[in-house]
Amino acid sequence: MDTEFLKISKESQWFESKYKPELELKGELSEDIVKTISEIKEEPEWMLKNRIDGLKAFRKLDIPDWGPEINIDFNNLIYYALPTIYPKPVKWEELPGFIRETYRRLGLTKEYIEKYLGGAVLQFDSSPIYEKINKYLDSLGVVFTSLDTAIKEYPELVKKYFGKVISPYENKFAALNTAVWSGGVFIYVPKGIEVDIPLHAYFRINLENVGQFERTLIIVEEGAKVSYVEGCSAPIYSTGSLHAAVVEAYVHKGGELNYYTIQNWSKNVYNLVTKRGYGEGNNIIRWVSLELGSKVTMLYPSLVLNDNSIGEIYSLSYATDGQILDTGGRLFIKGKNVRATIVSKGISIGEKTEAKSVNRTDVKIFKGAENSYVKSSCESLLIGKGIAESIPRFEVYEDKTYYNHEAKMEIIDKEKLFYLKSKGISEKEALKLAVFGFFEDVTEKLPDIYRLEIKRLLDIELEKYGGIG
Amino acid sequence: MLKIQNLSVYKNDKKLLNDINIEIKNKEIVAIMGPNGSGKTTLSRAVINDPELKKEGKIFLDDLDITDLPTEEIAKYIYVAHQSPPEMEYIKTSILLKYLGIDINDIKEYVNKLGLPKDLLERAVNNRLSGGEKKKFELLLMLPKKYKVIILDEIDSGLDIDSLNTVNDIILEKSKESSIIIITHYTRIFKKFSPDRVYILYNGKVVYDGGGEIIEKIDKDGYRIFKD
Repeated sequence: MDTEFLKISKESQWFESKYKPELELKGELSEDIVKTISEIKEEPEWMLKNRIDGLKAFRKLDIPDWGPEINIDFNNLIYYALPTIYPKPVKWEELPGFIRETYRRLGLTKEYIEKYLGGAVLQFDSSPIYEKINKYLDSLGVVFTSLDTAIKEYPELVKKYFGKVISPYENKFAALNTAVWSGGVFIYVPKGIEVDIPLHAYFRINLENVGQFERTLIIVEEGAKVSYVEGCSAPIYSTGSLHAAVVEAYVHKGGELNYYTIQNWSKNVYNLVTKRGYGEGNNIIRWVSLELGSKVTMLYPSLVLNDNSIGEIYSLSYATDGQILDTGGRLFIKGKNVRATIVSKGISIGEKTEAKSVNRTDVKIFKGAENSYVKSSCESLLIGKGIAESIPRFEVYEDKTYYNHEAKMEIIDKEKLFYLKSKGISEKEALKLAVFGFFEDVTEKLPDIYRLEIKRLLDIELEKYGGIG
Repeated sequence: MLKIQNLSVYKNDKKLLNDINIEIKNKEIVAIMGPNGSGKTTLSRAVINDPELKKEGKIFLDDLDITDLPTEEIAKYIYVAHQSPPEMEYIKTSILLKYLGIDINDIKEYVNKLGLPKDLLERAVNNRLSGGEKKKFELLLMLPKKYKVIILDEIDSGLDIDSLNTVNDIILEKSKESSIIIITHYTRIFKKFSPDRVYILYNGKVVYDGGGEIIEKIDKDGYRIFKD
């Protein structure tokens, strides 16, 4: 057994050597590691079985032979660390400079962070709004907690739905997540309940949701309705080179789910994430993501739609120097009278080196999905050395159906920048106009809490732009 | 006063303009004429400091040396109506106007007068506009503000006769507060008014600097009269 079982007493590495895990599990992924994780978390037998299934799938599956090149040394990954809250520097001074700078730009001062964030990078601890929201959710019977807590408090629910939407055999990274997951969110909305405020990860304390292998499970019962916003204001620095999350959502008949997410990992991370929503029928499911961070991202949120449902996927990405953001969406149309859309929009801004965004859409219309209308579109905005690719795919087994794909590409070249400058608009402002204009048809449909966050983050990103002219 | 002093301009090491000296006084209407490829557009782009062009010589606006000022700075004083404005797929016209600080109410009248499409503001910038409509849009953008110098690059090409009349009116109106430089290779824009002075560019050089009487000659014999 090559398993390294390390009790760390001396200082180990998290950014600038400030993170000291009490325990780290690393080395070749083995049954021992998986069992140990399960033991530490005092999990029931059935969860361990899920993990072992994940391990088996992980061993069987290869990394994808398409898409961006992936260089991960699986024998050198940290699979679990205690505490699992990832980088959590205690003092302002310990934050990496670029994160401090970002907070400053967000208008959050050192004093604010220390007072209200308790030093944590992410969680808004013990604010009054948190208590209020909790009381409100409790009164509705809505469960919004960490998946670890849910296993203890709602074992039957987790047992029933865990892995139901995304099988460990979906891909190697979903398998890996199933084997070693830790942290993540659990949401349960009872029958007929409509939650009229968006649930936001900020509202929860002690969610260990910044780990590499977080796992999120959302269950929306019949006729219930909920919006979930998952995101982070600042780039999260990760010591791990891999982020392999799984998000699965099961929506019962007549349920509605809006899922909004922002990914902003530091630019040294492989972000290989599997997300899927399953709808039983008569559903509205809307899935929106903005990819900003990571070195390489592969993310294709997918929806499985049954009779009389509306499904929408909006994938936005913003790639700068050295990044490859390979994203888009997948639709599985299984029922009649479905209206479904994928809009994949990628911006690539390469100032000194290449920046790449890939729009990959995949639509499968099953036999019997009569009278379904499916549209997909790929749009790219290129600046400087930015490059883009659009890769649409349709697989159609039903004649009585309608589908359509559009692709568009716009290049903001020096001539266009010169034109805008000659009207009195600086290059940075010109870029802002183009970037916000490019995303506008999607962002205007989003709830304020998410739209404003996107705007803020893009503003910060755009500030960094030095120019190609 | 705009003063171009011993200006030579290069692009990718190719000399496009050679030792140009031009002076335009306040509120003058000056024509810069010449055949295709003579360097007229290069001159207008050099004045507002196109970073793709390499320059020798100096350009002054009154006492201000604007030779190396950033384009967006120069744009406060000098407006260029471009010969071929690009389409900006994702920038809505109304948003651009907002950025430029233009109140839509100030230009509404002219959208109609110039015969621009009614949904102009909702469209992306220059999107689905004809060549003539793009020219009119360039004019529209200069109306609400006061500039020291306005450069109209081939503003007359692609315009029908009615539009040309409207454009003439706008030029005369604007000349009350700005110097106007009309760049063209046609003579027809001068049927209704004469420029105060004419410069002829030929092969990147100024070959004529004088009165408007030359226009008639060009009309008759073409630019070949300036050959060598």
